[in-house]
Amino acid sequence: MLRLTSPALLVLGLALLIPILLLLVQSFVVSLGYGQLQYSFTLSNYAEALKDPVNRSIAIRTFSIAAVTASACIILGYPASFFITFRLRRAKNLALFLVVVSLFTSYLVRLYAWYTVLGRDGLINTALKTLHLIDRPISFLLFSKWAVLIAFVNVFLPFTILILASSMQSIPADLLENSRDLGASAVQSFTKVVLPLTTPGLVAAFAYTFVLTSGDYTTPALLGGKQSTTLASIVRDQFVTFGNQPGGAALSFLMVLVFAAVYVAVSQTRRYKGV
Amino acid sequence: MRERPPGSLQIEHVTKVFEGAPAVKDFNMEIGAGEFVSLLGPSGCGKTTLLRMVGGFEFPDEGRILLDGQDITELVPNKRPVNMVFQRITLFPHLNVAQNVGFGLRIAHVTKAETSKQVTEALELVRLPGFERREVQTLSGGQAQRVALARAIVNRPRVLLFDEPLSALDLQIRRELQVELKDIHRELHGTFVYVTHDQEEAMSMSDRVVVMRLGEIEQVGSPVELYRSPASLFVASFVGSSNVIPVKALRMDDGSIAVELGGTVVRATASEGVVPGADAALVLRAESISLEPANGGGPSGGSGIASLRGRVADVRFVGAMVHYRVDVAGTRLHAIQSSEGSLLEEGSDVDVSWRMEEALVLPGRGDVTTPTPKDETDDGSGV
Amino acid sequence: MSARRQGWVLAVYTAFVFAFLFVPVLMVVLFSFNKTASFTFPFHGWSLQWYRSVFSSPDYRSAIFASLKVALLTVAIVTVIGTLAAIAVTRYATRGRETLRSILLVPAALPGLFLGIALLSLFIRTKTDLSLGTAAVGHVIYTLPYFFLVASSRLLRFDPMLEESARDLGASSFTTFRKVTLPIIAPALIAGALVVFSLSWDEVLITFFTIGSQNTLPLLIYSKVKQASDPSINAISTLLLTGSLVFIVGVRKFVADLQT
Repeated sequence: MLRLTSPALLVLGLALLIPILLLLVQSFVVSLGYGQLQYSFTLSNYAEALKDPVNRSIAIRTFSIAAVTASACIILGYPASFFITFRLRRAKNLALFLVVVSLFTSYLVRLYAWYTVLGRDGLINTALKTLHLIDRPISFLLFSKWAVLIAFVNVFLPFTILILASSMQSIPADLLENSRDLGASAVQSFTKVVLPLTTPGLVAAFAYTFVLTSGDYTTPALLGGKQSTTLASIVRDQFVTFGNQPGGAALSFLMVLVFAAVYVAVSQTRRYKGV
Repeated sequence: MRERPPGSLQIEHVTKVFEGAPAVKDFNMEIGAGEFVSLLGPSGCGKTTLLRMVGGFEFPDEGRILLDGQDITELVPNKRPVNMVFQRITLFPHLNVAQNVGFGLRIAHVTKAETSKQVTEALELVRLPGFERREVQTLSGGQAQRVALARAIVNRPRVLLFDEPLSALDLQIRRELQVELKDIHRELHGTFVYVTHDQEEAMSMSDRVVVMRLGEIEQVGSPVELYRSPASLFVASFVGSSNVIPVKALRMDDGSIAVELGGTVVRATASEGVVPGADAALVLRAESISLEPANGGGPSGGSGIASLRGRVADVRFVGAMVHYRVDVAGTRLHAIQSSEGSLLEEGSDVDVSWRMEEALVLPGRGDVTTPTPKDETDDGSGV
Repeated sequence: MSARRQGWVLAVYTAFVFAFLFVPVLMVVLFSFNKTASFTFPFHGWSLQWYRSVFSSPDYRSAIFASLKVALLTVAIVTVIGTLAAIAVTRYATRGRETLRSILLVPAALPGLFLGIALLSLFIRTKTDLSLGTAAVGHVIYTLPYFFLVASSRLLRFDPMLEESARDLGASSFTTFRKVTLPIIAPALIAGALVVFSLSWDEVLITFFTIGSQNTLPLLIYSKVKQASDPSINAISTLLLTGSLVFIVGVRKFVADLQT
């Protein structure tokens, strides 16, 4: 087995493990600014990252947007997944295929597309004007927290729907019929059978969306406007603009710690539920 | 297809252990050229493991396997002149029937023309003429296994192995294919080693049957031997529908033994190892028991016939035969009779009798209670 | 009665969800054909001028070629090492198997930013020049887990008795792989390769860190969007879109194989 996986492992080792270790080392090294490093051990990068009040408020903003996005994806996606899995017959595969198509639609293009929808002359404003609901265009839609949120949901919703649909599909149809046979109403069947059985998928989708959203740089950069700083942009700025690799590395590892905590929490719930 | 002579197998003291538990224990047996031998037993008895060792998909921890005197124990499957028909349908889905059947020949660099000729012959042998261009997905289960058989035969193996190939098929198809397999065996004069858990299947097709249990051989013999003279309680209860009744052995008188059964003394044929005074088991085939509506007086009996009074507990009509369960002598017996004539009623009193020489006494405790009738759909016609 | 109404509500809701997912992108496609320079409403009429300006622009052309080169290189590498890894993990039930599986899936769980800066620091420290090759390295790491998932899920459904049959009929291990296993799993491997292409074609963040001065298509679009409102962005975006979607159509055929 080792022989066959070794090429993959080699590549991962060289291009993933070593860079990450390198980054880790760098996070403990003193930065002299503009790419210069002094190779002495220090915890200052981490200390500064944690102490800086700006970092903290941005962290809160980043993670709360991520949490809201993940929750919204689940809340919005669940009924759609339910409908596709349990109410469609021949159209089911087509519907899922469309979701996959949406998943593979270029990420960048989808972000850019919101310019045409949320912009001053975009779809929403035009619609509202034609319906005479407003006189002047709404300008707070684009380049704001809301745009970022909407765009995130747009990007991660297909993925959430697929995960949920997949976990719903693994529920045998007999189970639901059985529950009805034993006297449960449709609502009860849902809450007592479908919901518990899809919880692992739900939790997994939440975790994945949360992590990837927290670390996302492009969406806030394109759609967030002036208030768009997230942890990801701080890391990037540290790394690229200020040449403070240790600082950027430290901050990103702190983020990875949060991500790891989320993934561990997810696997713990799985064990607790006995799945 | 008959040019290569069939091979003889010598399996010498083969043992195989999986994770600490022995799957096959000191299996020792010779299979002659041209024989049809079945390995019969319940799941987990080691029959499939043994077959796979002959085929080269497992390797013994101890012992040797010889083919016509040549040691093949450690040979990989593609180097053995042995072919197997697998339990699941393993036809290659990306090839059609002809390509499947000719697969082994093409690997052996046989020319396309010659391959095509032999493929056609093989398909005819398995009663699927003209199926060359069919796609594998369009075949029924029975057809697919015939193609698998053709695919194995066409390579002229010295020994053909069968790993429960019919177990996934419907009963009717299974019966048909059993008959055909026997015909094919006769036509090919090949050496067949067949694994199954269905004792009827094994009995109807084989020259000899090896009954296995927990990795060991319980008994080897012709179907008739196994049926008439089971060497152990396990064989007695596994083969055919038998009643196994715990009794106490009393006296031995030239070959027959007297045992105590529900207050009466009956005689029966004694098997090896029966000791007077010890616990024993009376083995009575369900077909050997006669039931008559009870006469006013006591059971009539006669010389050489055991006769007891009992009551019918259960009647099951399955077509040509009727299965009765009768409470008699403190135990419940399973009897099978032809359904001609009037059926006995549940709850009625009956005279239960059998010829004493058809009853067998085996050593050991008859802890096996009356087995439930095997094969619910079996009408006893024994195809 | 209320069950049926509930059914309708769900259906309408799901329709809205699909609209939400697709409308923005459809807008971009629509405006790529706009006659005037505005890339917002109102829509003035059909024209191919933006496409013409894209194809005549050397910037765009070199970006497209760069994207193609990186994507094809990535596909070539990932397909080979990913298939080997998938075979190893699904075939051999040793204890390291689950850990190996998790290791192979790690890059999918990390945000692109992190992978990007990690690779950048590696290249800086090893004084490697940034190029399309280094960008491809990033793409390989990023797409490997996805290919691995597709390939191993197909292999799990592959009946090992098919290979035993081939061995039984005289084929060596290698011949068995070549004549039996590979033809049967090939559709899934192709689907995986298409997924890799699609992901690589669209990747922007990791590429940003690892490519140096050249531009791939997404990078070019990104910088143009940030700079000014250039209507040709609609056209090039539609082209970007087409690239990632053309392959989806191909994937559909192979997904059908996955479902049989």
